[in-house]
Amino acid sequence: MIRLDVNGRERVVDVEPEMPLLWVLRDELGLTGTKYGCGIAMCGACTVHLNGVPVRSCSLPVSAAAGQKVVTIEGLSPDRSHPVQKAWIRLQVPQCGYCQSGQIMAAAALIAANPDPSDADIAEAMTNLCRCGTYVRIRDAIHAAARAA
Amino acid sequence: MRHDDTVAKGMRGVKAVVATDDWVAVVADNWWRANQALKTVKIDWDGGKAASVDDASIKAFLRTGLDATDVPVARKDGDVAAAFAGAAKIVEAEYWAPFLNHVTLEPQTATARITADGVEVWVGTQNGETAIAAASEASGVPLDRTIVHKMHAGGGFGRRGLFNEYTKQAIALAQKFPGTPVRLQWSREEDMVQGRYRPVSLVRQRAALDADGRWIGWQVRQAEPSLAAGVLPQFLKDGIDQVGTRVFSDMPYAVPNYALEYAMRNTHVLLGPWRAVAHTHNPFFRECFIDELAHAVGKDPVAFRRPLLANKPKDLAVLDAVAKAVGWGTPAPQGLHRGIAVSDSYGSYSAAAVEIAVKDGTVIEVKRVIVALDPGHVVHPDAVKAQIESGAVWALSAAMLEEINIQGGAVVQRNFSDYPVLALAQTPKVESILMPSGGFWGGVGEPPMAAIGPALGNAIFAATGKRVRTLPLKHAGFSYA
Repeated sequence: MIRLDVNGRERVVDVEPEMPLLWVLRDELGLTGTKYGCGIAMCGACTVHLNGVPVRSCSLPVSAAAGQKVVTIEGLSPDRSHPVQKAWIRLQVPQCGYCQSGQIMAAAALIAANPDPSDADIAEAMTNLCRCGTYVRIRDAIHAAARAA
Repeated sequence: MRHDDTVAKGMRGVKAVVATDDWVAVVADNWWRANQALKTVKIDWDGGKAASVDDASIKAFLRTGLDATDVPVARKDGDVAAAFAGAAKIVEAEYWAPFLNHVTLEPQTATARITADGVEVWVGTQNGETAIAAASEASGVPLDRTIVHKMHAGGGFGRRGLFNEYTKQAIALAQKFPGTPVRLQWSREEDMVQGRYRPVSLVRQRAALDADGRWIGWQVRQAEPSLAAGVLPQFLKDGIDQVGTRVFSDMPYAVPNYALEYAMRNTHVLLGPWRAVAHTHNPFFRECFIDELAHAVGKDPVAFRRPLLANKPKDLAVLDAVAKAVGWGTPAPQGLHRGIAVSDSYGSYSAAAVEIAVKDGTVIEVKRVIVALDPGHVVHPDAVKAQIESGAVWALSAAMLEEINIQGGAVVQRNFSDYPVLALAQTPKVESILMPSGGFWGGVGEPPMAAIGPALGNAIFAATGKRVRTLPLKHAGFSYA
């Protein structure tokens, strides 16, 4: 049995310790906002916060998250009111939307660590892939969210 | 195909291993467990005759199309032979584009449930009609008891329309568990090797120019596998792919003597409509070649095109708009170089100007992309701008980075590690000029892409003097900052 703190709630799961956190979240806990895109920590669709730091949950064994604070897109805010979520809606960032949970989690962590990121800071932090190509608006929305935060 | 699933069947959470003639799937209570079990299944694939096919053999096969004499003619204006006989200068070049995968960020997936009442499917699809037809056919359930729930697709781009193999597979799995919904999720690796790829294409172009530098003759020979022959037979006519020839068959330039020849060379590699279809690579071939002609006769690339588009006001207007916006005709800012191109498609007219910097002679940094688009009408300007921004990312990604290779008859690439796509750090500023002029309601999802790739290729020539004719541009020794 592994004890997890997911979105402020204790969860106990009976899984292999090497199972990636992504598949515990999605298939054991039903938190399907976090997405699978590559399984090799490249695309970032599975990004969640581990103690406030963005991690690629597809490549993090659940045992490494035991006892740590995990926050998923479902727990970022109770009502979509996080400055990043508001900027995303205002600037109409998403297209298909599949990568956007991961993008928003990465952006929220960036702004928490760096309240006024430059374009270069954004380029370095935002390595999540978006196949629709919403990068122009992601960049603009992070600036907007930073100003509003 | 033979397989051994002894290990997989004993693994935790595994409910079944299902095998057919050409695929194997593992059903489990958790996707990671299913995928771990699938990795232990030993499969002996039978590649048949295709097992000896690779990039080199495909290219050699296409090359037979360049040299063949019995090739259908898709368009013929004037007398090309006479034009070449009287030419003061002849320019000839070969261009190449590779197979590409859609790599929708969500790998293909579908969920199915079979009950006594019928079949129910949940799938992200661009085409509900083909999805319901496939679900009915695969399950043997009549259409009036087949339900397809159209889910929000994690990217489509042409991958999730005509093909429903993942839906049929999900139904085959669900048939083993009546009453229980079964969700099939392909791994990224499966999605990479079982794509429906943008066709490879080899094109030879010859141009005749007179003593005054006027363009008097043009001969285009396309050699490529036909998308229409594979999946869109309604677009096949007299051996000519009416989709694959676009950009050349409907080219707007007033060249008096023109011949377009189409040599169909089909391979076993599965094809699909990839966002913008023929307008992904044919504009690169055409518009870079026209840039070559302008330079060959010492003319400015915009000035060379303008009289040839005199009777095509919509093409001319978008070309002029991007030229003005980028400051064409005035020196580029220190260290920057410009390229320009124009291409209409799907009833819309677009032109692009690209500004780049080149570090150490080979490292390209795209600083600015400007796209002018005339789709006839614009209802929601912000949504159209979003498509232009998106199209710029797609066009740059394809031009610079993307390529599917074939070895042993199969796709070489497996994941984003060997099929890189454009990242935010490589994305330039994108400026949109919307100039709806009425008339036909053209598209906005695909047309903005068409002119960007060639504008980039032409900017690279302006910067380095190197003419890139093979996509992606990394083959010419260029990399992306």
